[in-house]
Amino acid sequence: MTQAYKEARDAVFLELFEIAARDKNVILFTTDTGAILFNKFKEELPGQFMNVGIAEQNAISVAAGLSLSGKKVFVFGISNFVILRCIEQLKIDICSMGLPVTIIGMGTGYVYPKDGPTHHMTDIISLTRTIPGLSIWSPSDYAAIAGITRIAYASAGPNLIYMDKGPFIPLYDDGHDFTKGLSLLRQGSDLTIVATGIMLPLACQAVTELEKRGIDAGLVDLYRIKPVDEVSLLDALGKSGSILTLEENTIIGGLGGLVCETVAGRGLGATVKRLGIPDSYRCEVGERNELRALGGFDLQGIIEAAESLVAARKTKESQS
Amino acid sequence: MLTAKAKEIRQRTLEMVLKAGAGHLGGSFSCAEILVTLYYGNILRYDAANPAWEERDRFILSKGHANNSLYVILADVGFFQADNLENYCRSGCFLGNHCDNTVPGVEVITGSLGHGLGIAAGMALAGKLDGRKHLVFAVIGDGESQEGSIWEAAMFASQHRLSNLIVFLDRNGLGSEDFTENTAGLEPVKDKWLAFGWEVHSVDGHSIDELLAVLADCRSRISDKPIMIIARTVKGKGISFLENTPRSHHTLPVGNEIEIARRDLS
Repeated sequence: MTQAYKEARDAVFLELFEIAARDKNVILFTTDTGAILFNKFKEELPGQFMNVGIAEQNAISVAAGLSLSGKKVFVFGISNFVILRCIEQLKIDICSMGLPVTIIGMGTGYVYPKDGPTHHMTDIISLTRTIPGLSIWSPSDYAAIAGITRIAYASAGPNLIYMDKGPFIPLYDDGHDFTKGLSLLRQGSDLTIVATGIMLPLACQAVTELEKRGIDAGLVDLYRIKPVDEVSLLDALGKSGSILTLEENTIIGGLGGLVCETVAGRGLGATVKRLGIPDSYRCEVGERNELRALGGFDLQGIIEAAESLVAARKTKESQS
Repeated sequence: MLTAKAKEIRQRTLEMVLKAGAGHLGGSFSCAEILVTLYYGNILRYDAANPAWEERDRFILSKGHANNSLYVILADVGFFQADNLENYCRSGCFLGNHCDNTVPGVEVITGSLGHGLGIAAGMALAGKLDGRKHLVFAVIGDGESQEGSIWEAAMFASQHRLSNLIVFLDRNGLGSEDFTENTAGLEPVKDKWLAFGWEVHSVDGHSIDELLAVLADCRSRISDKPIMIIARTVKGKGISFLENTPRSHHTLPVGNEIEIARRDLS
């Protein structure tokens, strides 16, 4: 089914309902994290939906056992609890055996801004991308969430969908092919911004603002964190030599680290400015954008970083 | 007959780990009779020529470090050639120091404690959902039972009435470095499992007769509870100087101990 969604949970769970209705081997677990759509599963597909309680590690292990018996299991929960708490179960029980289990982590970065460090999902990209065999998705709009859910179902191996409730802005048509892993949304000659997931709306806003200031910024949406098509990514980065990465994840080992590894690994010279969550905990209570501002990656921070990158490049060019 | 087989398995296991210079004799020997009962006592349904046989019972050695005796058994019953045991833990061999599902007859990678019971519960749930008749067996350790995930799985299994799940607790009293009751005590362990909603039995884990008796009606019983069989065992059972000692976890006999160990098992 392909349709225009306006809510993240609709995009994932309506898609999943359609899939599960066709395939009785599809099972959805929630770890006591709610969604209105679960009532539809309970009523119409009761044998394929379970609230397995607040026992996330067990949920992952049980999913492995089901998967080894021919089931396709999707496990849903708040990202910190269903991913960070279960990192070993994810690595050993699921990924080391290459099982087709999909973890749907609700919330990225500061999605629960006032709930403190226990609910701030600051490091999941960095941690999970070290796990061999795991495909990691960071969808950037509702069509992407739905399309990636379909890809995960069709996949023979483990997937992690690290999704946010939004709000997103529409970037893709329904039915867009998300198997490529990234999209060059805009070409730019002065610098290229690489963003992922919930940062795309802000990145689009920044590109518009930079244009007003005479800076031509490209924009790449890296919605699949792993595996990365390095050739496509390098093509998309262009030749400006100035790259700004944007993620609501620690800047240590996340999207920015990934881009640095890719560029440096190919022996290419580029300046990469990584914007994201600094190496910190946030107990300050604030709105999401206020926490981003504290870390220097709100709209103002992005513009300043972009201007600084472009100015540094011009200075360097004038000296050479 | 099965007692003699257990003795043979211990002897062959000792020689295998001595040659390799690696292994976990203590935990392998405490569950030796459990494994022999399952594989030779007409309990576990398997087809060594077809490890993926759909109707097979599933067996998970959740305390994956005890794979030494399991590998000897899997070779003995024909899952792979016995000469592979000569290269156990040697570079390039597929037989390593913990359970690995690339080994024919091994269902699941185990070695990090506290994982196998949840996986077994998932297999049992799948069997229930699909109306299949096979059983799921697992062996967990008592040191392993200090992991919280064991108790998450215990709640899950009783909640979902996984009566097709049969678990042995290899109650040898020891973790890796100390007795469980000195570190994070498990007693009263029988009451704990009863309180978690399981059907609980307690047996001498080195008595083949008691093990066979407790499993006699495992396919025909009418119950909606998973089964916990608390097997009272001795870590390092059979080798005098290793029995009931923390060093038996991963310390192998050296020097004149080697001949003492061989004599003990003869």
